[in-house]
Amino acid sequence: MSEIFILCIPLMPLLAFVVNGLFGRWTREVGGWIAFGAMLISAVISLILFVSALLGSADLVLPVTPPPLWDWISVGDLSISVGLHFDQLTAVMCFVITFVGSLVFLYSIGYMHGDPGFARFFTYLSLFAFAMLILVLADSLPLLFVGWEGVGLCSYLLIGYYMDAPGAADAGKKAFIVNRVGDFGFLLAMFLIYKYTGTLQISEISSTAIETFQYGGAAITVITLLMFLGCTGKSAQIPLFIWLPDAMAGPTPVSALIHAATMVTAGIYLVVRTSLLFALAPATMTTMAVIGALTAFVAGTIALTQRDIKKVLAYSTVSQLGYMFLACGVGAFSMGIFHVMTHAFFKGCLFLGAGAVIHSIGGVQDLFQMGGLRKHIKTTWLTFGIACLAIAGFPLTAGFFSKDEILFKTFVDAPVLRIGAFDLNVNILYIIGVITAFMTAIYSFRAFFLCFHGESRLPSDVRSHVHPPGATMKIPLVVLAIGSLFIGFLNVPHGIAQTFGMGDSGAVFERYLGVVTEPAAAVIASHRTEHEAEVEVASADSGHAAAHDEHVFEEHAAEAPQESHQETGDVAALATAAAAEHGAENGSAEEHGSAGEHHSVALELGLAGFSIVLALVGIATAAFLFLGRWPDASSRLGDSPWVSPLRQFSERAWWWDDAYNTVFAGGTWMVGVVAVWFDRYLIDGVLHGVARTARGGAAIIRSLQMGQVQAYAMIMLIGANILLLVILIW
Amino acid sequence: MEPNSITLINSHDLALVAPAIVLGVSALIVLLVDLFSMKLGRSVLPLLTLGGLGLALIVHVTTGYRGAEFEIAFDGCLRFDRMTYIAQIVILSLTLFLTLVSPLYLIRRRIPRGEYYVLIMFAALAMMVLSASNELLTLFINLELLSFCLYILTGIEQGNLRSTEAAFKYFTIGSYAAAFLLFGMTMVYGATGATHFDEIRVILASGSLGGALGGNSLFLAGGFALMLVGFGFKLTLAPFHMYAPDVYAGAPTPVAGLIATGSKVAAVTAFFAIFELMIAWGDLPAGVYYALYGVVVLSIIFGNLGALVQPNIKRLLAYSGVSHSGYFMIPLLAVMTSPELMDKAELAVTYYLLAYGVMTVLAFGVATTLGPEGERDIDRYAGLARRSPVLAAAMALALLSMTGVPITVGFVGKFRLFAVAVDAGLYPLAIFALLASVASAYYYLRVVVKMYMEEPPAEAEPIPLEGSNALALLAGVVCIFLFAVLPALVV
Repeated sequence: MSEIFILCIPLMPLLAFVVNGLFGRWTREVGGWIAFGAMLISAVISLILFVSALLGSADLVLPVTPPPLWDWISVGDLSISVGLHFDQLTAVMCFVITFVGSLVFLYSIGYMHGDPGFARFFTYLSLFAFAMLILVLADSLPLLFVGWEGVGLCSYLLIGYYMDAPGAADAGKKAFIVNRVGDFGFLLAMFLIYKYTGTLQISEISSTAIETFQYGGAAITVITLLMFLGCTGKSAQIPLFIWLPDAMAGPTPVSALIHAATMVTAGIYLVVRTSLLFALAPATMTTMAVIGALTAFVAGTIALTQRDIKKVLAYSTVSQLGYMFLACGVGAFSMGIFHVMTHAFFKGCLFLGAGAVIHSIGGVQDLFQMGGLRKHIKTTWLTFGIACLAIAGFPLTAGFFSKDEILFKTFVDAPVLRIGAFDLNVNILYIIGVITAFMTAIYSFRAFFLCFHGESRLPSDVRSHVHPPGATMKIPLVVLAIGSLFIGFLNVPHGIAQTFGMGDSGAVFERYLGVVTEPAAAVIASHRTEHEAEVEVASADSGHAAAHDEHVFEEHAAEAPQESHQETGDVAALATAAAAEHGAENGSAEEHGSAGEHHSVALELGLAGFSIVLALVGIATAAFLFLGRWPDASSRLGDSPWVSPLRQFSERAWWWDDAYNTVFAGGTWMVGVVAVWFDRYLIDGVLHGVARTARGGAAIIRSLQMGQVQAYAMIMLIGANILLLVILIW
Repeated sequence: MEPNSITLINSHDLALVAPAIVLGVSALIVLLVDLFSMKLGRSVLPLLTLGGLGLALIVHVTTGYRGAEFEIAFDGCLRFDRMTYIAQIVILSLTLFLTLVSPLYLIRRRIPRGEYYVLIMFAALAMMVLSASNELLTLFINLELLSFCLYILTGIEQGNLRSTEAAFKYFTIGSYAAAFLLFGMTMVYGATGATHFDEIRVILASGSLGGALGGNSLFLAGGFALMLVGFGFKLTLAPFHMYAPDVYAGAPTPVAGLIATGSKVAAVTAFFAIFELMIAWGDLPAGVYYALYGVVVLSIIFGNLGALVQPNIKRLLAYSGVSHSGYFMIPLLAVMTSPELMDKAELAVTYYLLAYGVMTVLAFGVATTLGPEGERDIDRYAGLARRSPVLAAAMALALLSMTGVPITVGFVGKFRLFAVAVDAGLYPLAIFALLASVASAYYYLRVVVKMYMEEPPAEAEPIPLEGSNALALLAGVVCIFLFAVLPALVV
């Protein structure tokens, strides 16, 4: 039964796509409702499945794999069928995509009202939803890639939706081209995976990965790095993040759905889906964590100074995606997905709120032309504020739980930078993460205050015509704001749960997704203890550690790799074994093999408190600078000799685009110049020379062809004589 | 040949020549019908011709060559092998094609139809036997039978000066070339004392020449040289090709098509047999190789350069045929340097017989269908795509195939010819032929550009397409793709 429901999830948007695509000329405004209705059905199904999966309902045995729909590619040993795979991870993703998606569809009906391309818009949007759902439901990498490319295509179409607007088409192309670079990596990774494992079925890859690849070996490292390159493209990470800010040229609901809530999370999804591969490549994990942290930081600094409200949100998205990769990079895959979910709510709310603002004041996007909108659009103000609290990590909001947990995991598990001179271990990734969290609070409330508070800086003709959004736009805002407030409680961290008397009811989401991430976590855990043991052994040699400890760890070190190599094929068994072993070692009744759990509750609480303080200070800073009580505080700060260069640096987005322009566009241009010279003088020169020679030769031949039989006979005779001479004399 | 060695005609031999017999009988029937039913039905003639040719084709495919390495008939006068088999299919199909497109053309040009069809069928008969010849006299007689049919057909449009002039030129130069051929044959006979190829081959291989001339190898070499001249005329190899543009331009277009395709296919097959004799001779002078090399290079140069500046479509096709004849000879050169490539060379030549036949006859078919508009200036093809998309597409396809664009038979054919040269290590020749073939794109595509990218003349009207013509052209188009995608259907 559930199989049919699962098939329906991607099918509904596909139907809407077909209807709107074929009959858009007639459906017009109704087309929006058709698309929304289809999406709503998918959302209801997804919600039911997600909730029953979350509650562990007996009716739903995960993973569900409906029988393959049809054989797609069959070449030699390679046989790929179109099949779906529905497990805990898919359930979350489907829920986020369809739930936020249907809200955005509803919102778009109001937002796009009166637009000449209404049906086209909903056609693209439905196709996008279909592609995204295929991406997360696919049971093989090629099918996943179809969805992957599909969302890329729809993104291109939707960014360039306002094709007449300057820059929109260019932004679409930019997104497409930058993504192609990443896709190239993904494709290569796929080829390599096939070469090594002989299959592209995700479940088969996972089940053979441990015996196929050596832990930390070159093959798996290259494969995962290439896959990560693909992820940096789709999920806008350094070095390929530059397309996302430009993508804001599309309609705002598109930004909310595609460039905040769903498509950009495809990279995270891919990493978590193939987490076992990544877990086998520690070098890639470290790279991912570092890239994630750096991206979070860089984008955070850029978001501080942007004038365009959508650009602020865009860079904020890049920054938050960085957090997600940071989480995956330190092995907290489920936290990466949890942040995907919470982020979908509050960033969706922020974007839709920004859309409502822009809609209400006739298309103005410059924050410095807004101000004082609180009085005119109360609902938007409230929901935007709630979303800002959530993204800033205000206690008990969704963003607090997810981000704080990522920072906690980073603190515990991130690779540390050892400064030998001071005999000091510095967890630089955590420090970057914390600084970014602080900046997050500042930039989000900067936007909030500049937009809704203070004196109105709107042109007078606009000010008198502020029109509040309609019901179709308000409802999604409210729903998303409520989600931003409460969705975080799905995963109250262990420490907090225990402290506040909730017992073991914390970390629901982590346990829920644990089934999917368990094998990867087991691999990481076993190798981490192995590594620790080595360190311990090393220090024991210099007489620091007790003999007993040494014995224990040595034994463990010997066991762990055996364990991972003997357990061929059965990942679950391996996971259980590793977890059991781990639990036995620590002598407590822990349920999971996460390495972080032997740290004290006190540490967790302490770090949470630190995060809260940071968030509050950040909000206060934003209030001080931008709330208007100290009108020129921000400009004075910005113009001060120390800060001014930094501000410019941030405003130009670290000159990232300019650098790419110089290196890649300039480089291509140079190649073009050389090629043109080569073509014009060498190739054409030779060709023209040949042509002239040929024409001359043709003229001679023509003059021979005089039409007289005697001449022909004479030429034949001469030819025959030469022939005879050659044959007889040679 | 001793009188007592004449064997009885047996059923095996008859089965092998059954298609030719069918052709001969049908030709006589057409002749009689034409004679006795002046009013009854002239339109019956093409139908009878088609019937005869079709029947011959069916008989040939069902009873002909049976896949053995080769079969000998009529006391060694005829030899049927894979190449002959394919060549005969191609010959019959080409004739069938030209018969399909002819009727309308003949009516427009007021050409007497009775003789036309009879001669076409006799020509086909001659080509059939010529391609199977395994004896000097059989070869010569059939060559002459073919030639005389073609001479008459060229001049069949009485009162048309150009046609008459072309026929006269063709006849004069043809007789002149036949003299070379016959003299060459005489010298070979004199040197070896045999006319059967099988016997000559044995004598040459043994190294002890007999014959009236006392086994003088000089005569033998000279004989081969003169035969090369004679075949050079039939194959339009430079410098014996001079007549071709004039004859093609003056002859009725379907006849020009037959001269360009059918007669060349038959002559290539016959020449290949002579060539097998040459390389059987252990003391073959190196000069033969260089002479043939020179002829090939000259043909490719003359053909391509001549076509470069041609404003007349039929003359252009004549020159293009000269260069294609040059390509035909490339595998022969390869075999002369590395004899182990014989089999591959034979396959390449056999395939190109079909490729060349299909694409050339398709071009002539379009020109015939266009009639007066399509057989002179290339300028008349301007905007043809607007006036008749089917004709333009067929022409473009034929020309692209001649250029050697992939997924056409022309590409596969040229690829196989040049591959043999590469295998033999004849890199300069292969590169030269390749470059020439690239250069040929200029004049082929010039026509395509005219058809597709230029505006038709103001007074031009759409061109209607007759059913039989459409059928023939469609078959040609299908063949161009079919045999390129599935070369295994041929060899």
